[in-house]
Amino acid sequence: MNEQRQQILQMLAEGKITPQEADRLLLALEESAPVVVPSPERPEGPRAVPRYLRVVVDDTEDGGRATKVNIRVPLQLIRAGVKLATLLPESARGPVDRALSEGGVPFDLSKVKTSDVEELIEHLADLSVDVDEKEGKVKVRIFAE
Amino acid sequence: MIPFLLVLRIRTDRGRTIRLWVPLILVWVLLLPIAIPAVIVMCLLVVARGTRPLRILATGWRLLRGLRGLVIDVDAPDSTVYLKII
Repeated sequence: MNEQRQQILQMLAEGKITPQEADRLLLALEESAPVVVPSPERPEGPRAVPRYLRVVVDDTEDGGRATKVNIRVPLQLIRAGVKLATLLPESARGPVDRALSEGGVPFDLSKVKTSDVEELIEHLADLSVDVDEKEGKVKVRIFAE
Repeated sequence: MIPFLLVLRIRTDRGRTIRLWVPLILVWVLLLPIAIPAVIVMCLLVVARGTRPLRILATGWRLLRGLRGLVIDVDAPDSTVYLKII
């Protein structure tokens, strides 16, 4: 029992305030106190940086034996790939950027920074793509672990 | 660390299964006589273009190291392919 609650109850016991006033004061106390509820989903501590990107596909559309695909790509490979892309000479970068733009991805390879890639990888930990098509016959999951 | 083992398993629709364990360390050693002159030539070409060769070498090394842990597992009704780089 905290001090303020004790004071209110003391004042009520001494007859200095009515029960209704005490009730109002206690309610105000509860409303003003910040309530901290620990999130059960994310445990405290440093956030784990994902190491792999997983793609899992389960296709039972054909009716017979299912086709399963399980791919695990180390994120180190993606980091190195992005770094390699930034080392492309100007003469090669132009056509690549143009091809990306024509494909609907307006991306400038020269502006990619290492810190951006690291931030992207860190946030991949929250990535979870679940696709359920054709009444559960085709399932696709993409996540980082 | 660079990958040292490649595991490959292929099952065809005829029921044949091919299993390969390739010790990549030996492959790297065997490729050295070709890789060293190739790297020297590449460095010269890169310097001529104005890029630093050490950056490209470091990135290539990271790419090689990044291959470790790659798993591709495709299990289809008529064939199976399993590739793992350790």
